[in-house]
Amino acid sequence: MTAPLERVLRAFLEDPAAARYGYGLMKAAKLPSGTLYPLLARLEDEKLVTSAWETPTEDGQRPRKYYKLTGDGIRVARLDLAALPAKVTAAPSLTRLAPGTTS
Amino acid sequence: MPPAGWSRSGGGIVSGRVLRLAEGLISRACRSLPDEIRDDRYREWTAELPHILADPGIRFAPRRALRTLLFAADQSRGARPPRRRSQSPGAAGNGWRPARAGSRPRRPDSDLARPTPSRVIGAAVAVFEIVLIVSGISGWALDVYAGVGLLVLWLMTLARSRHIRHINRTSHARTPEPSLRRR
Repeated sequence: MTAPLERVLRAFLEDPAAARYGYGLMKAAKLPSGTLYPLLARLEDEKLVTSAWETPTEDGQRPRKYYKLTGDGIRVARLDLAALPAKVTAAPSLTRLAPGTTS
Repeated sequence: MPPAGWSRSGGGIVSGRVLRLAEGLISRACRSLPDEIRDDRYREWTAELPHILADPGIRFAPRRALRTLLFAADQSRGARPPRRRSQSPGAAGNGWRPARAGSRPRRPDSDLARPTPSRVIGAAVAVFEIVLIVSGISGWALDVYAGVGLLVLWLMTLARSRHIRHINRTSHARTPEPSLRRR
């Protein structure tokens, strides 16, 4: 899993039921638009994310498109993210050992 | 209505221009997308622009304008097909399709990193403008600098398209059908 994908999934999982707009996701995941939208398209292609247009408002603003994790998406994202910390935390514990010591 | 905190000296005009400029950048980026998704992406991306321009989380209006333009400018990267994944047979779908026939072909990778004079000048102007915008200049001064920036970008685009045409001519002369030969 790439770091941008990880950030997007974490942003979604902050509130899996919430509808997220592209710009909101950009800020939450700290990703530029040119990275985020292809990722969203890919996730949507793989049926992990679903998108819909918001209802047009009376103030004449253009409707925005929002994204939500699907049931499958929530499951896959949780599984994939849960598998990550084990890899990240394994390495630092080794560096903490002083030469000649045993764990 | 101009966003809160927008400068008094023609802020509404500037925000309107920023929106139009950003829409132009998105429209340009969308040209490389397939017909089926082009309108959808244009509607989606341009709908975000007013929200970025009025984002209360960004304190200074010039920074919001800059963020809006960066959002729009970066979509040209988002609208490009990925480098390798989509080209290999059997690669997972990623939402983007290969460029349409007749659209501008991509340059060889070796050419991407070469610092041409137009790129150096463009980068210098971009850095200069960003410093000015972030330092709080707004109103007519911002318009002038944006105009200079656009002029330089236009010249860069012209130079780049000539360069690409030249590369395509020479590469076609050397390898008429590279994709077929690989198979």
